[in-house]
This record gives sequence, structure tokens and C-alpha cells, in this order.
Amino acid sequence: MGYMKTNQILVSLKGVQKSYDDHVILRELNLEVRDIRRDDNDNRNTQQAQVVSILGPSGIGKTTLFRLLAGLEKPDKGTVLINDPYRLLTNETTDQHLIPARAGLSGVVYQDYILFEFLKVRQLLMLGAKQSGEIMSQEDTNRLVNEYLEKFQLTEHADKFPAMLSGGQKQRVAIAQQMLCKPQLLLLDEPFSGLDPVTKKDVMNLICEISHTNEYLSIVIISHDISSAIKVSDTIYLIGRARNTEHKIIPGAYIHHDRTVDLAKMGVAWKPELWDGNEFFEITAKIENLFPYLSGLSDD
Amino acid sequence: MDKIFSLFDKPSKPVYSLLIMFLVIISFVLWQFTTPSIIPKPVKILEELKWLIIHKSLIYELISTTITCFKAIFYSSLIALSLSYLGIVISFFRPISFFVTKMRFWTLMGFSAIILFLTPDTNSFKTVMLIFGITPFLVTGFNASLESIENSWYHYAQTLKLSKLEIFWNVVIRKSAPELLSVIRQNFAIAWIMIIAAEVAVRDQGGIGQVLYDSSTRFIGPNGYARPFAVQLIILLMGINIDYLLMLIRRKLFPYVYLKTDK
Repeated sequence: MGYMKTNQILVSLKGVQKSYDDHVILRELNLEVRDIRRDDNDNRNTQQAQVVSILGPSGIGKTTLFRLLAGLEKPDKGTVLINDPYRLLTNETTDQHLIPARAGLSGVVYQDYILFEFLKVRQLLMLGAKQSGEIMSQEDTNRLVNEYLEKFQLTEHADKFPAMLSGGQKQRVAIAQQMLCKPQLLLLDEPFSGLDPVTKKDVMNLICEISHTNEYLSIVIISHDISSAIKVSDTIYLIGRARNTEHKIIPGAYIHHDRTVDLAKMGVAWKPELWDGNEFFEITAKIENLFPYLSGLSDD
Repeated sequence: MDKIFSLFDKPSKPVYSLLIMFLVIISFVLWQFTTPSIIPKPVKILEELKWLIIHKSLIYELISTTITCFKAIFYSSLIALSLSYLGIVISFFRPISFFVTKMRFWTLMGFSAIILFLTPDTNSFKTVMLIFGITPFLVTGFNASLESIENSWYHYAQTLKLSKLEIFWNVVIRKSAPELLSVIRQNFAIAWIMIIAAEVAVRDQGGIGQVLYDSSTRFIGPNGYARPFAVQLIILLMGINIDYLLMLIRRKLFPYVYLKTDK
């Protein structure tokens, strides 16, 4: 099973810098996420969305990066560009067309699964469907929402308020709602945080399933849960601090490109059967050992 | 039952009800048998209550006061909501909203003669006094509720591509509605006390305040202070009942809020 990266850039961060009250959080941050095509044995391209994880220690600036990607904040310097999702709707996907990130272009699922508490699950999904930009009859909207309820195993919870759902169920509603908005980029902030092992595995399976069903959707996971993130991703970027030649910490975090883990190239991406094997165990241990360095606690 | 004396434990509903009943019975027993003679006993108060209902149209006056209070609360809420919403949405109105909150410390007593002069009748005077009196408290509570909406809610609405009007409707109005009703409920007590005070001050338009004034001055009965105590008791019970009614309305309108607290 092979893969190839196309020329189509989905997300591009160039020279991004962000500070709060003169405290540098992110500096010279560069990242380019390109569309990926998977070739299976039967020589037919398999639908496969790009799943990228940005891993780093707590308090390093991951949430700031998340907000920048979501277009909820602007960088002080540099650019955050994403592929225009509306071109997908008009079938203009061949030409490169990057636009500055702004709120509403990307689907965003927060760590604490924010949902309007006064709407029931079905109403939340209806709201998502109505915001997709597609003109649909009420009947078609209902059908689409029912499909999503089934796909995300939420049919029996359709008439419940978010307060009646477990953390895992809320997360599924939040993802389904954002998916119905038809984004081209889905941002997940700490999707594995606070979940029990069974629910965590369900979330991992769900991410894999979503990535197989929509080739044009890119998923960016921001997390510090190494072992879960690497199993669902094809590329791992590491974000953290660094020290200068005098061994002093340079203010602000950046992407350590020299430490990027290309799981697709290594041949372990998209293989749930390997999740409990040695390969993932070793990769996890290798990244774990880098965390003290990324958080600035050690020199190397 | 053994949990009622343990630290940080919440009693179940039946246990809580039993505790309240126990407290009420004990209070009445202590009141009847241990208080000094100047304080009227419950039995005498009940006798006076009966007299007031028959001879002084107590129920009618109570309803009249309640209607005036609700009317004033309704208008105050409309004014306060407009000021708070405008203050949150448009910066220009923020100082006005802020100024109104400071009017909590301004007594209306010296101003009452002007309001009396400007209003067509004393019933309108009571309503206007109450509106002036309660609006700053409501604006203060509403502002606190609206300002406590975290940015993440606005961000969530933005990621759903909601328009500014839709964000205002969903995040500002719908999300804050249960809190705002709570603010009204909390401030109802102030309004209730204010209207009684206004009725005591202006005594020619009836109302429970006038009955209270008359009972404690002109019409003291054979049971000493039992008559004003009876009126006070009715004022207290009516206040508690309206508070309960507002809680039921909140529960009916916003059931999802109680799902969280019930958990």
C-alpha cells in the first residue's frame, strides 16, 4: 500500500509569530500540509483524507496555534492560509486557491465539546446542516441529519440535550455538527483528553472512518496524547521550544521539522491492525523521550 | 438520613422536605410557648388574619399589590434587558448601562414628590417608583450574566458560520435567558419589599402596604401586635410563593439547566 503527496496545499503557515503582552508564544512557525493520495494494491486510488497531528508538551502554545488555524485569532506576523472550502462546493478543486484563515472556514471541535445546551442533538445537527452553504429542502436536510445520527451512533440520543450525554457522545455530536457544515479542514483540540481507554479507541476509529469517507477533508489534531495521535495520523509534527548555542531557551515555540515523523512513508499509517504492535510502541517511546527537550527542560 | 450531619453532603429531596417540616413545627412550638408576651402568639395571629380577610379585604389588596409588582417587574425587565443587551453589543451604550448600575446607590425617597407630581395617579406613581427602584438592580444582574459568557461560545458560533444576528440570538439571548430569569427571581424580593414600602408611603390607593400601615397604627386590634404580624406573615408567604412560581417557570422553560444541576 503506497501513497503520494499532491501539489495541492491544504494548510500553509509561513513565518507565523504570536505574542501576548510581549510574551512570545509562537515564533517563526512554518508548516505546509499537502493533500495525500493513497494507492492500494488494486491500483485504484482509495479515498483518504490527510490526518496530521501536531504534538507538544502542555503549555507550549498548542491552543494558540489551534486558534490561529481556526481563524479565531490573527498572527502578529506571518500568514495562515487554508484551501478555500467553497471551491470544493463548486467542484473547482484542481487549481490551488489559498485564502487567509478566518472563523467559519474550518470545522472546530474543542476539548470540552462546546455545544449549545438549549438545543437537542437533532437540532444541533440541523443547525450544522443549515450552515453548510448548500441549498437543501427540509426533507433532504432531515434525511442528511438522520444519516449522520446513524453514522455517529447518535440515533437513540437524537432527542436528548447535551447535558444528558457522556463526554464521548458529546464529542461525536460536536464532530458530526462540524462535519455537516462541510469544512475542508477539521481541527480537533485534544480529542483524546479525559476519555477512558474504550472511548478513546472509539474516537480513534471514528477519526479513521471520517478520514476514509471524505478525501477532501483534512484533519488536524492538536494533542499531547502521543500514543493515540500517532495511530490515526499519517504525519506527526512536533511543536516545542529550543535552546540557543549558549543553552538558553529561545522564547516561543516552533515546529521542529527535523523531528517530523512521516508515518505514511514508514508504512505504518492507516493500519489499525498494527496499533498494538511494536512499531507504534517504539515511535511513541521515541517521541515521549523528546518531550523534555521540546518543553525546554533538557538540552537534547 | 444519617448524612444530614456529615460534611458537604446534600440531603435527598424527601429528607430535605422532612427537615423543613421539622424546622417549621419546632419554630411554631417555640414561638407559641417560649417567646415574651409582647410578641403575638401564632393562634392570635391566625385570629387576626381571619378578621383582616373579612373586614379589610386582605386578599383583594394582596392581589392588587401583586399585580402592580408584576407590572413593574415586567417593564423594569424590558428596560433593563434593552440597556444590558445594547451595552454588550454596541460600545456606545456601555457607559449608559454602567451608569444605571450605579443608580442602585441613589435613594428615591427625596425624588418621590417629583415622581408623584409627574404621574397621573398614585397607582402609576407606585409602578414608576418601583420601575426606577428595581431597574438598576436588574441591569447590574443582567450585565454580570451577559459578561460571564465566555469567548469560546462566540468562537463556537463563529465556527458554525452563524451571522452576527444569529450569534446575538443564540449566544447572547438564548444562552443567557435562564440566568436572566434567575436575576429577575433574585431581584423580585427587592421589588416586593419596595412596593410594600411605596404603599406604606402613599396610603390612599390601597394595597397590602396600606393594610400593614393601618394595622400597625389606626386599627390595632384586641390582640395587640397580632394584626400587623398577620399582614407581615401574608406578605412573606406571598413572596415565597411567587419565588417558587418563578422557579417553576424557569424549570419549565429551561429544563436543560436542571439536567446539569440534577447530575
